[in-house]
Amino acid sequence: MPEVSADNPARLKLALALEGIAAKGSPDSIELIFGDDLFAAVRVKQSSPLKFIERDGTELISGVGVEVGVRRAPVPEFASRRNARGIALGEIARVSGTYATVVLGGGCSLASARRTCALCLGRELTQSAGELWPVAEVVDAVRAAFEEGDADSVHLVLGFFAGEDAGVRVLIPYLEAIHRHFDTSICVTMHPPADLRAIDLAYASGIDAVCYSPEAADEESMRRYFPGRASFIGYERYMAALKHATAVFPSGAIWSELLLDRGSPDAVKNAASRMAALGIMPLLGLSAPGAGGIGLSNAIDVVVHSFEAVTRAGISLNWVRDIASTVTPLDARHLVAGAPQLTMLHQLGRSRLGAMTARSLARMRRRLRVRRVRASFDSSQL
Amino acid sequence: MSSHPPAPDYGEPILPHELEEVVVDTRPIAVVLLSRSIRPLILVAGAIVFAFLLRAAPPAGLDSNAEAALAVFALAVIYWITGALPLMVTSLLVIVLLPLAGVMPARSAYALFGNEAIFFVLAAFMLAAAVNHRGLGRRIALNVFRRYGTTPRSLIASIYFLTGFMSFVVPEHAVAAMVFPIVLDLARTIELKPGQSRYATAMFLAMAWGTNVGGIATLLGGARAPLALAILTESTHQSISFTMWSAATFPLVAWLMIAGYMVLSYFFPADVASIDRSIGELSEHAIRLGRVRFEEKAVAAVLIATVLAWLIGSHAVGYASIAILAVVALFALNLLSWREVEQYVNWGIILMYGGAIAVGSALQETGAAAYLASATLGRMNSTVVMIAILALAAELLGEALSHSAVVAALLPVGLGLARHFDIDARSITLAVAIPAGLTFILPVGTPANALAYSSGYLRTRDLLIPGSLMILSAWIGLNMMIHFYWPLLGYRA
Repeated sequence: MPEVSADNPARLKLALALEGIAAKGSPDSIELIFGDDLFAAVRVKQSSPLKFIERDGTELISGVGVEVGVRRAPVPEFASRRNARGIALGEIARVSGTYATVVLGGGCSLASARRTCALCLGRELTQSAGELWPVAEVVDAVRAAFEEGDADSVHLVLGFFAGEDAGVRVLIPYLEAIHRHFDTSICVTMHPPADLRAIDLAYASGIDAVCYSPEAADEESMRRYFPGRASFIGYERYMAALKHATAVFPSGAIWSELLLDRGSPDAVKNAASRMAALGIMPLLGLSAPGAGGIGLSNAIDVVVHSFEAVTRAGISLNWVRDIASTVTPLDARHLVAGAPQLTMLHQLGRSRLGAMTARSLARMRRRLRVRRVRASFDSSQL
Repeated sequence: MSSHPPAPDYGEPILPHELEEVVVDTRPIAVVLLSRSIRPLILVAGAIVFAFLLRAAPPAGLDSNAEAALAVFALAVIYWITGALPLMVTSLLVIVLLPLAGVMPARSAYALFGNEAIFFVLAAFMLAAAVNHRGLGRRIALNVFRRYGTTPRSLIASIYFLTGFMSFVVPEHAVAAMVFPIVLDLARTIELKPGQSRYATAMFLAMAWGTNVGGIATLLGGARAPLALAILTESTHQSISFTMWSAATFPLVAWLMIAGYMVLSYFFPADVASIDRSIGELSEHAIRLGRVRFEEKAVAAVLIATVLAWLIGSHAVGYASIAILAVVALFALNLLSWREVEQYVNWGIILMYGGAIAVGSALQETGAAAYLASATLGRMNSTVVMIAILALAAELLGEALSHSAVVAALLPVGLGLARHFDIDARSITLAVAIPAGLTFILPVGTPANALAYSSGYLRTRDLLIPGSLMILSAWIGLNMMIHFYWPLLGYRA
């Protein structure tokens, strides 16, 4: 039985990440909302001691001593609508937290579907990158998600692309189209490019936050758990790209996910400290419920440690609000002293005015910092 | 043998230079803000300087017309040097301001766009377009590299001397654009590490230095030379023929070719044992090109005939007329299409030259150039030192600024000095135009250097000492030529 206090949503989110949830008639995962500001994407595991129940129209979690009221994120209405090609919009975009998440494709599924794939395991990659969703269909799906009101940002997930830029150029039409149609922020989860200038291009093209996730706590863990990625990409490239990104993106907008079950708690804590010291926001997740045998107290310890490392490094927490799929240092506001002030800042960031201000500042920053070399080249003349 | 599995391939790799389209300024935001606010400040400062000079009472020895010309020149120099406006837009502004300030009638100002040099540059662009589009330049480069670049050192020599010689007859930016992808492929084939390999630095530097040095040899290497010639002609009614220009630059080109190769060999020793893989790569490229086609032979024939005509008949026919006739021949033989011309010609530079020529002419005709010269270097007792300073200024400014802007800013002053000191204006023209075309350290100023830097293999700090040595070599060599060689050609200093 996990040691969960019912009144602490962060502990509950961690417990659910560790144990999964038993929910009748549910697909792979469900998304739960605690209070009105903490989102948790929970994988369904019917043998979990934590159970999702509905009684008299009330949604509850049982198995934590007392029953805890919770809200299940509704399945969006747009998800079942079909576009001109007959594809359900929910296949293209889904809502997670306050993000409209679009998995664009590419040869990797770890970041999107939590399945270790050929890339992670080091099998020969023979499959093609696959056909990506057409830009217009992505825009339509995102519009539908935004119109329904639960999402206000876009999260693009790009799998593995060989080549120097790791697929940044593939993203550019999507970024341009989304920014042309919506006043929104875009975060992208992808693999790190070999050519660090592609990170500059990514930022210049409209990515507001970027996530390069080695998942493993260190090089040795990567070789052990993800031998394919260690060979094709390598831990060093992840760290080089993350370090370069800290000079390019604003504080708090460079994320990296570490899996609690892919290294000892101490190794994960060390990795989080190292990342935070470089200006990188460590996010914490698990590869699967029950994997690795890490206990809740250890997990809480790591989350609190990450929060302290992030605040010590002065990294902004504004960019990691409302992320459901991983535990963020911002979630630790429910676990550490000084939380009320942090919560107030979080609420301010979530407000319409706060979000608009943040987007305007991000746009202004990009306009100030980005220079087109083509223009300099032309002006150099002969 | 590596134990790693081969990386999967999902398509063509992206070339580094294609990624080099954006740069993120990572300086503190306050510094970025400051630097971004400099441009409007410069625009305002230029306008204030212009208004002040226009309204102030003219000093002794300068009439109001000359002062107005000086005001336009000051505004243009501020905008050209700082890049507050694109070069060509500043030139258009100059054309408008000269009549508005009463320096010359609008008809005269606009007529200066019809200068011979402008049409020469236009035709040179078109010739280069034919060489590039028909694949002639690429074939020559591949064949030379395959034949002579068989060892690490000889490959460097091949790149350096080939780009140098090609820049004699094709604009240096066109040579760099043709050779750069080949050099980049070679560097990647040999698996040279960006930022680490000294040999890779030497390869790209050989390309950049070769085009720069070769580019000063004739009027064709860079458009700054025709610009200088046009300013000279409009201001003094003197000229320098194609042959004489080449004769005047030849010893310096030869000296810099040798010095450059020695510097490259000394500072960037080959840190690779073998370049066998690069030879294989070159062979593959050559196979893809196939046999020499009629179009390539025809373009080569037109080019050779044009160069011969320049050498023999430019004085009688005019170098621009020969170039235009060559372009007509290219079109007549179906070797060039207007679409290719439109893609290739830098129309902006054509506009830039009109303004530069107009302001230079205005300064000379009103006497403002002479006044400017006497107010700056005119008090010096030694013409040797004065010319040396002018040449050094051109060379150092050419490192950081557009070469054309350097010529446009310095040459009117230089021609004023020529009149003041009774020096041959042609010597001053050469003394400004030649060093202005040499860039050995920085990426700006010339597209060849910008391309070399875009490869990611060059770091400025690696180039400081060898580049400084080349600047010094060029400056010493130029001064020796000015005082010992040019008088033999009839150009006294």
